[in-house]
Amino acid sequence: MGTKDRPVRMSLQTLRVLEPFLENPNDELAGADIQKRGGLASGTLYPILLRLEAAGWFVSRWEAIDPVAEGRPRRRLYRLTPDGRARANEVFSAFSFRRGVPA
Amino acid sequence: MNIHDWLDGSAARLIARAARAAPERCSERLHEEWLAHAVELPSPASRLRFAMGCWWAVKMINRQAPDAANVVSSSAVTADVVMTAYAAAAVPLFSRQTNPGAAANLLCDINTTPLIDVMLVLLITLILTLPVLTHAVKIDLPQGPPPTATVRPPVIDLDIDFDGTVEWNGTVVQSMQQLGDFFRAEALKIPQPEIHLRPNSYVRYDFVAKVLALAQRNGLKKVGFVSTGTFRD
Repeated sequence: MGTKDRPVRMSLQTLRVLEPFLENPNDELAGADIQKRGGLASGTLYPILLRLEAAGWFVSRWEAIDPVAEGRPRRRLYRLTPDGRARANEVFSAFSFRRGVPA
Repeated sequence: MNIHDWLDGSAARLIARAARAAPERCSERLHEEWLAHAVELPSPASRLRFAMGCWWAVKMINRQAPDAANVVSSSAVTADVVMTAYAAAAVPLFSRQTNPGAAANLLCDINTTPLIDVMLVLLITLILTLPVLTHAVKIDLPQGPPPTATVRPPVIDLDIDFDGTVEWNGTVVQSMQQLGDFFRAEALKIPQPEIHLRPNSYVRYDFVAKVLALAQRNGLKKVGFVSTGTFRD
């Protein structure tokens, strides 16, 4: 079984990571944005992001800036894949956790 | 260097070390990503807390490897490249573990790097909690120089017998005039002696009152009655 096909272990923290993406499915969010909305610590947030990305729920890319010109490192931006969005919606429906998010 | 610079420097070093401890394929990516996140945090203390959390993240990432480690990123893979997991688990993830030549380069020394990392984290935790430990409760303490050691004043036993006879330290006083002289002489001494008055239970109060008045007139300030249990017959 490929990595993408493996079931993703769901936890309250995982749902908190997914929630801001489902509110605005086309948004690209950095780790700092997710942390602000979900209130998760870095030690919890990043393992979840990497796990969901490995499972194909997220795709990510570097922010398109010149770090030297901006004077700061590039942010890594995450976005839900269509498949990830569908699966996240399924999960939220099952948990009755979702709050009026379009599928 | 002030404390904020020091904290930021420590946070940056912690993040760098944590990223190095992550699986090699996502080490560089995590380093830059975490630095970018730390920059957005409001205070040096929050950045340091975030850096400590990165250590926990690495621990969890290493535990959930190879899934998460399959997420590859580096500076060579430029922006706009969509990163997805490589399902091919056959791709070597950890060169240290899967390198065929690794066995030939086995190190027999103790790896002290994790110990140093733990020590660093403990040290920072200690420094952060130190202001709490040194918090003091404000108490109003006595001001000025400490009092000098007290010297017990000499004691003069003044017995009044049933018939009005007064004894000064066991010596019979001939008259009230002589008693007044004694009182006057003792009142000038520093420290002033204590008069322990021991009247007989049968003596008239008139005598005792006169002796007290005489002592007061001559300036004696420490006059006391000795417990009745010690009265002489």
